[in-house]
Amino acid sequence: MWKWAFIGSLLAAACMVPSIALPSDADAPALAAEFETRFGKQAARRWRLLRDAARIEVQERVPGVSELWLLEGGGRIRHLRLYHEARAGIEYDAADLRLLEAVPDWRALGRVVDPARLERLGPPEPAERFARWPARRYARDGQEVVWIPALQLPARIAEGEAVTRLLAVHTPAAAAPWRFTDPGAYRLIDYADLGDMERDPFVMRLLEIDPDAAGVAHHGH
Amino acid sequence: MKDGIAMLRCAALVAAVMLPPAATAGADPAAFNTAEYWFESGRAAVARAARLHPQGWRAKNVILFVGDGMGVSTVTAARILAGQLAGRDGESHRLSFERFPHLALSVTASANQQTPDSAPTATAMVAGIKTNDGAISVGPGVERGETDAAVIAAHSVETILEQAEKRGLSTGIVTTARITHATPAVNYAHIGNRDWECDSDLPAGATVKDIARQLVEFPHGDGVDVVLGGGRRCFHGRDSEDPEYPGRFGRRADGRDLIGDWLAARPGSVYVWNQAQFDAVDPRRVRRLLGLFEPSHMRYEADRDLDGTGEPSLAEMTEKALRILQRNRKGYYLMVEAGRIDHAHHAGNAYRALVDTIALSDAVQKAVALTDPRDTLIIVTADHSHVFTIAGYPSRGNPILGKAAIEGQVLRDAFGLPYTTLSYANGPGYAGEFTRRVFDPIGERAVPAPYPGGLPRPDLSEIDTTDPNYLQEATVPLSSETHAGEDVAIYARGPGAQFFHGVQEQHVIYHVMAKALGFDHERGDRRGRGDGPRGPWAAPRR
Repeated sequence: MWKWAFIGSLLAAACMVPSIALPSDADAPALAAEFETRFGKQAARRWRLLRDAARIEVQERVPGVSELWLLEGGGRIRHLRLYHEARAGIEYDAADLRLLEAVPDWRALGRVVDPARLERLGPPEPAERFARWPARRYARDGQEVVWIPALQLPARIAEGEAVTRLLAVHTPAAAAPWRFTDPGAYRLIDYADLGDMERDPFVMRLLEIDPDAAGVAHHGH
Repeated sequence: MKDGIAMLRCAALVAAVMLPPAATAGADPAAFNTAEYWFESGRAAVARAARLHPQGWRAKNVILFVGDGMGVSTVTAARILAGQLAGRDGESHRLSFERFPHLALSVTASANQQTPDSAPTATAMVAGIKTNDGAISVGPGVERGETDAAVIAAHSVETILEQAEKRGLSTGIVTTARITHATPAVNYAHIGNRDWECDSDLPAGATVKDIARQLVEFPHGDGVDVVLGGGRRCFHGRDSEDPEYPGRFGRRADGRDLIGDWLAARPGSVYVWNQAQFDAVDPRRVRRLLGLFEPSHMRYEADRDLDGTGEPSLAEMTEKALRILQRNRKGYYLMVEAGRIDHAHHAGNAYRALVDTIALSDAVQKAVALTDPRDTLIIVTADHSHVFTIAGYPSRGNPILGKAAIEGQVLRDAFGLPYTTLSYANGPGYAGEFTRRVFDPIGERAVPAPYPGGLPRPDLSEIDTTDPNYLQEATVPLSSETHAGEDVAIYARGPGAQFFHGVQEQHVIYHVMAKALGFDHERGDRRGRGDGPRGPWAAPRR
């Protein structure tokens, strides 16, 4: 079955905006966090979020893949999708993301949950602390988000059978056992070049490894 | 789309006034779309053809325009879009090069591909032979992974640019792709694998030089005089920060500053990387110009206004190149590539492909205005086509980027759903059953899901398919839309243009250029000419 993990891997799907997002994000501290997502009785999947002022990386949401987002001058966002086993990556520049309507809202991307969604869930109520950080609970119509304002990160997201939990957080991120992936160690291929690399062994396998990496995006269909 | 439309409208209006009588129809078909009009315009076309005579066959200058991936359907759709953006009848509109007097079809199959990639097709055009996939101006006897410089040298095929340099002509290469990309690279480089653009792309132990280095160390004549395009990253080292994008670095493993080397080897030469620097170049004073405007490809024309430091258009680069090259009384050879038509098609995005095609038309128009048809051969062609089609039975005047409709009544498929006039046979635009993305409110991710009502296709009724970012639907799901194997067109004017006729193999383009420039009697350095093919199509060895 044709998969849609590319856009799905954008942590905050509702954050898709038609133009370049504003980079202002001073209230979100640099950190590294580990989450666990479980869908019903399926095995839980652990994945990680690393963020600082100019980088957001999601590790292992797709097995063996790091999704690295880079904030550049002028609010430009560049995306690297890094495949560890192949030591190769696909690079989407700002124009590619624009074409694919996949330009994310930087603030939402690094928070896992779009702040606008919290507003839609209504006024919060106090919730149990997560470690040393106070938390608030937002809930409506069977949806629940436990939010940590100091970290600008959810401790828990639940709806129906799907539950995501924050397992651990390190701030400053330097204290974490996880590091941003160094893209310099990967063979980077421009997204625009994929079509002319039909004989490249990695590109030939890309559909199999990650069908959606090659730019299948939501285009209003 | 509004910004793009405004920009294009201006260009299209300029182009429209240059059209022959049959193509100057207004927006209202009722005003001209009569039997009498068509009959008389047909008669007038024959009268013009009867007055047509060759411009001789010796050219002082040759300009080769290549629309990468610009198949016939792309030209047709771009012509309609340009006309419609100008508020005119799109179907009778003509792009600048469509008014050239001579035309042929070009068979693009390479030595080992039914549907080719850009490397062998561009090699065919500039070196006069058919070769294998990925090959940059080497014969078909070279393995794609050949790393031995001596083997590559033995199979290298001299290009029209190299011949021009040896004879003292000026030479130039202009592209919106990386200057090290296949189509521009075939002019100056010889290598088995088109992807070896930087030294960091080469396998360990390779002795063949990467493509960027071959440009800078080009050994013929006094080197390529004008080089304009993208691809900066292969010209500086990994510890060297990009001037436009802080935090991004070059890709050279050897740490060399090839831009500095280029300048040092060519006293008086100028390097530019942004619009202001480009604009400041006075072609009356500069004889050699290197412009690298992006680390990778330059922007699509539709996105050019988003570049922070500005980038010249293809027409602007063409004009600058011509004004520099024209200072050489012996003549010049110039290749101009609209390199990103291909990329937009690969992405399944018709809008950008068509806008870049119109930009190519503008560049050709600029060349027409700056040259004399009595001494300059201008060729416009494509390296290959794409699986891009114009379908349905839309009425004349129906928006080319819109849904197929007859007199405003949207046409519907077997499921009762609207469809667009433009679509692809394969690619990222696949939107078949179970491909709709629904954003999971918890994981906030997309999941496969059927369309509402169990429909097998998206309902486009409320979708603006003229949006610049719309991806036209594709029949077969592929990560990237593919090239197509049908013939492409060759449009030509000037001395030697008459040699294009009928259905011709693509490598004939080189031989026409060589004859026009008087190189056809030279044997030259054509070592790859004796190469036989590799693979199952090779004759069995005895």
